Amino acid sequence: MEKKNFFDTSVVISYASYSPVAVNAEIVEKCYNYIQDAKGIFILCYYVISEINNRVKKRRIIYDEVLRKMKYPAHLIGESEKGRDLSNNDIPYAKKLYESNKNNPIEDTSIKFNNEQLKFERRIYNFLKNLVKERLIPLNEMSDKLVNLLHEFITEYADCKVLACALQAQQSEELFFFVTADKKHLNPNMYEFLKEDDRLKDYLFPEFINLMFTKSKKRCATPP
Amino acid sequence: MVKKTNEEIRRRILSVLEHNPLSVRQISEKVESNWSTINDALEDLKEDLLVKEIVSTDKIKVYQKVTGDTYYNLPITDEQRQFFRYLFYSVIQEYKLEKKRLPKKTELAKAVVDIIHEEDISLPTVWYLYGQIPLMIADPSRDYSTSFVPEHAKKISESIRVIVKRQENKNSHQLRSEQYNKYGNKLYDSKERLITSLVRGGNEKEIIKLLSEFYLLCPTDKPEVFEFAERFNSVVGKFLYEDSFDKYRTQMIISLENVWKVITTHSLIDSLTSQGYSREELMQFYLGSSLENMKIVADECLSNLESIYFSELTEKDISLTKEEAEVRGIMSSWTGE
Repeated sequence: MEKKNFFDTSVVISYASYSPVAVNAEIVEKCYNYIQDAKGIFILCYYVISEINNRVKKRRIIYDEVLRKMKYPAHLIGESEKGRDLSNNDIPYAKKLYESNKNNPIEDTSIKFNNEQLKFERRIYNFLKNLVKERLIPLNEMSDKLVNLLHEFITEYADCKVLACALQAQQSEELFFFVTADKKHLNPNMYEFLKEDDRLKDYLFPEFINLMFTKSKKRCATPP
Repeated sequence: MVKKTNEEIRRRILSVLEHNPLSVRQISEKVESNWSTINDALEDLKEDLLVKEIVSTDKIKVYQKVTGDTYYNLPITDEQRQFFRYLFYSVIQEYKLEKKRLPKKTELAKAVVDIIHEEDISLPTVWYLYGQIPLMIADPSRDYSTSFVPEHAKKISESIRVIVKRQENKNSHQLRSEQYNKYGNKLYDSKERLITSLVRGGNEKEIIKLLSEFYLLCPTDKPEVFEFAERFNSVVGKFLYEDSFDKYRTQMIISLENVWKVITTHSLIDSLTSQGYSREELMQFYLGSSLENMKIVADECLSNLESIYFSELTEKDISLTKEEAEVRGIMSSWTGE
């Protein structure tokens, strides 16, 4: 039987960002190809589902901030009440979008952003509705003790939560793949290092796949 | 000190409650009667539906005068009330004289708003569900006869004649649209066109354009309001890519009307605060709980629509246009981490 796939948030976001008619980042291609080709069942934990929803909202805020800047040129991107939810990583995207659209009519830009976002969200919802077969670890069952333990090694709290859920889920499942696309915190060396810690020795670890560290596999683009 | 009669106490209580709600202790101080006398009188007034208790805890009771003739029982002075009555009465009379009929509610309300602005009369008007209206409820079936005659009555009468004539042969929709344009409120005009298109079965392209226009005009300075507009824009936009759009038009119209209630209650609050009403008092005594209920209903409508969308979602892949692909290219490496 094929191993199941437990996905991290970024893999799903990158998968939804793929378009055969756009210039895709390498990681987007990798995530899309992985999901298209994977044979095993797809699993998500509830924390990742809530994170996906948060990021969908955040993506909308980026567009709202650009539109606001087009409407009121004195506006500073990221400075509105909602805009403050954007991180330093998000702001450059908003600025780049603004620069490439500032001379276009705002009405057309608004429709364009909206349609692009709707199609992005459509792929996310289709993924959740039709491809994800198992949803595991309700938020109130996430082990705080395990999250805190992982936080000693991994600075990003969100990554600790996802990994904690994957570890919890793995204890009652056949060995599955834990698929991530994280460049900074969850790298293969760190993952091996975690396995060696005395306090985590009794845990069965899922098989780790970080698509950031895998080789690209070129595939023919599917027709639009 | 002469003892006040019950009737006098009742009259004075209603008088001190004219401007804003007060606690029993505050009323007692202003009326200069003891707490127990005032409390008894308030209980009687409550039974007669002349006041209502709006805060009731072990320690404090706050009462509000019930007038029933303004939106949300919002307070206006007696002079303002008489002036409103005079204007309503005069417009109704002009309609009877010139058109041999009573005005409709929209005709009466819009005419009085125009008179107030054109004659620079100091009376409160507010933006609410269907545009700008007098704060006192315009009801053509009511008797507004009054002995009050304002200064410049003759000039006001001339203005009424012109305004009523101007309304000739216009339906409520036209009157509203005309008002939105006259007072430069693009958001109201945009909502009117969007709802009309949804009701009349407007095509996909037209709805996308109107939806986007409405969304762009929604106030971004109030995140809780904007979030409702954003959710509506998003879910209706998504339905446009499914085959089931027409099947759920009614739910979309109901959602829009409920989101609109939230938006325009904020417009109402803004209108009132710009005319000297205290935002804190408005929220505490008059509009706070209604607004909360409206938000709950709007949220339920949108959640319902979102869950219908999820169940109706088809697996077909929809390609990006060239312009959208450019945006996607910029966003490609974004993961929101």
